[in-house]
Amino acid sequence: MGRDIKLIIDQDTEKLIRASLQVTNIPILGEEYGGEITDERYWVIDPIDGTANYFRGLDECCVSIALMEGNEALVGVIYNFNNNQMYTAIKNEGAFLNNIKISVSDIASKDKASITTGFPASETIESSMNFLEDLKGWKKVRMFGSAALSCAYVASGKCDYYAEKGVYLWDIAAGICLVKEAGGCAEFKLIDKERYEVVFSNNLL
Amino acid sequence: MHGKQFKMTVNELKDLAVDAARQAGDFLNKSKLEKKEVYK
Repeated sequence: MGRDIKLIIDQDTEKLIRASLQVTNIPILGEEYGGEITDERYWVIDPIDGTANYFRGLDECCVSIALMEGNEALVGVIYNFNNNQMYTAIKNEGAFLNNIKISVSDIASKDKASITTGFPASETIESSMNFLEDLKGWKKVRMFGSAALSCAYVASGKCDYYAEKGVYLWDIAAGICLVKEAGGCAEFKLIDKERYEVVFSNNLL
Repeated sequence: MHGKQFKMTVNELKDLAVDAARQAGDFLNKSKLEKKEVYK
């Protein structure tokens, strides 16, 4: 399970979101109550991305909802309820922050760019050293503790690159749509039964 | 397995997701003092 924590409110919030989306009769995949990836449309929800931050009163946490079709993200919604920042995107219609169009940054060199990532859990010393090696050369390194917000920050040009191993689809589904629609690149591949390695960038790095 | 899906446009589905996220966020803001860890 790594270093994840779970709160009762994660479960209660997922129930609330499921109730809101139920009217569509579209299947739902959620962090707390499961579901399946299908080739047809399905919702992907993370009731609190950044639960540990929420638990400790840190503002880097959000609600994440995506509409997927197979591996394609049709809609992405990431809401940081702490500062009322609503990131939204629809495939082929652009990405927005509080209804204002956003785009990825135009920074093209690592020595001027900010990377956001997460420290890998349950890894060996050797892989941790490799991880640290990969961080050399970036101007700034940030670890927000929320994959969804990391995606939103790349989409809005606040960061330039997001890379992490071991995230789940509900962590990044909405971010896929946001980053692509903001002009960036979203690459993700399955590395075990349900976890992904992701690289989201401004397309220049 | 699932009932008939309503004919909603992708834009309408986005609006529904935004409403659901906002409602969830309001709930989470109100619940900040009631956090209880269930397991690690």
